[in-house]
Amino acid sequence: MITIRGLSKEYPGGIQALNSVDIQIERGEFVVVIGPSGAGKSTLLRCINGLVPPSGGTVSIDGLPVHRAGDLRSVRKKIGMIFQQFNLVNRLSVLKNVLCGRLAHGNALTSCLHLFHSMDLDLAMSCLHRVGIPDKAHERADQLSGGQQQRVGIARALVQQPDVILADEPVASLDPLSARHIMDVLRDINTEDGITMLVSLHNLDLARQYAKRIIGLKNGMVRLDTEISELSDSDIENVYGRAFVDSAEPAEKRYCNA
Amino acid sequence: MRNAWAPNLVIVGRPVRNFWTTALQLTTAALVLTVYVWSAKGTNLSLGELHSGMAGMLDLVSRMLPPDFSEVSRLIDPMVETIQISIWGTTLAVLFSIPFGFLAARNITPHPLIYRASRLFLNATRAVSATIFALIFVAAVGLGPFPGVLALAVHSTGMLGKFLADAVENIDPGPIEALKATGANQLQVIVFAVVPQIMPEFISLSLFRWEMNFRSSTILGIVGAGGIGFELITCMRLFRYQELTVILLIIFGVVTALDGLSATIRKRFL
Repeated sequence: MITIRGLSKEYPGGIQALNSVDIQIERGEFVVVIGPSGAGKSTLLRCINGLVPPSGGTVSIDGLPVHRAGDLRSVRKKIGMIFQQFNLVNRLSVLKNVLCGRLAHGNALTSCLHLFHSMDLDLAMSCLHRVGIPDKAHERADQLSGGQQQRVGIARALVQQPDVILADEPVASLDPLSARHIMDVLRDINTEDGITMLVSLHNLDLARQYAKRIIGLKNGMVRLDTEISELSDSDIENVYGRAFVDSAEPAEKRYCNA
Repeated sequence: MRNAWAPNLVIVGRPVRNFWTTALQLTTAALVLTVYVWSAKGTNLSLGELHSGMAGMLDLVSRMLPPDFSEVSRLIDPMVETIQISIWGTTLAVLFSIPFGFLAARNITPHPLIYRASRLFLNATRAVSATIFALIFVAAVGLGPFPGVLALAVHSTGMLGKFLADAVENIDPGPIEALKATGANQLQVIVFAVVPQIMPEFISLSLFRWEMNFRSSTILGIVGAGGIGFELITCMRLFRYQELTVILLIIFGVVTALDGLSATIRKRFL
């Protein structure tokens, strides 16, 4: 269970990325965060695993406050993260990239010599099976296509055996078909393993199709938080503004008027 | 602007040119020209000097020819010693530059003060040439190849450390963020996210440094720090110019061979 109370973040230079955000997410939910660029989606996700320290408010996971935890790493150990740009280590093999997700679980010294426990190796291979690319294990990460690289990213999160997976625009760099495949994998992980899924998306169609619950951010504030079945056009308008919903006019005409 | 001779050629520049920017450009040009003339005066740079020195140069060249190979076997040991100096000088520099390279990289350093101190140390060792370090180490530990190794090691640590720090600062921060997010510790982040990204560049830089160190080590003997340079300065002092030619030919041959070897290895890593 993730509890966010009065969470604010002001970056140096006075940019208010989050403004007093309150969200509660139960175990096993599939939540999609939508909102225009700069709405604070990435910052919200990064405050949850402590990559970004908040300026105010609290985040706690199963009652444990994230930012006051003596050991931030033990919190991160149980939270997987997936990135828009995949963030793989290009020159390492796919398998080693997945094993990076086990670094916090194993011996700190032997892992630096690239030595891993055989159980970790089996687990990594099973995660690669899970995302459908076991045959790519020994290829270099940068030899894979974008969709395959994101599968490696998911396997790296999965191998952590996390309670929560945070996915920051996981399909924004992919073609529409790969995007659907990746979203399918995320949904399967959510339903089969019960891992809480918090996904930021800017594609509304995908959000509508995969989310069970949808949260809309605008200017760092929660403007929308509803079950997907109750989502209405006026909700979307609250997040994106009127022009977005009235998109019956051809795009060129709207741009010319602007 | 167009002109009649080449109507299709235009000068592309910033659209607004006011009086002051033009004045500033002309002043800069005049200043640069003045510095050149001033430096030419200071160095006696003139065609007249070149002409009057020509006779002396031709005389020297005629005394260097033909090369005298009779003593060539005596030159093999100093040449091997020169190669050995460059190998250990470079290896020690690689080892020393690794910690300094990471501490002097803004994105990895544990503290801004450590960053400043490491950069200062690297700048200081880089600013002083290997030959000057050799003079100092000869005074400290005596004549021989060992002070030569130390001199190369210290100067190259500054060079390699700076390049390594720059390489670390230029890596893709994405994988670092991803590994931090898994709960990996700082050392694991460096080993898995930073090292793989800089490895090819660092190997290439180290081999390039070895080439340069070999060229530097040929001169270290002149200040008493071992190797072929000592034979070179001896031949000069004893006016054995024909033997000097042989030394120069050997240096040229070995430098060419090592550059080729190093380039071949570097290509395999890029």
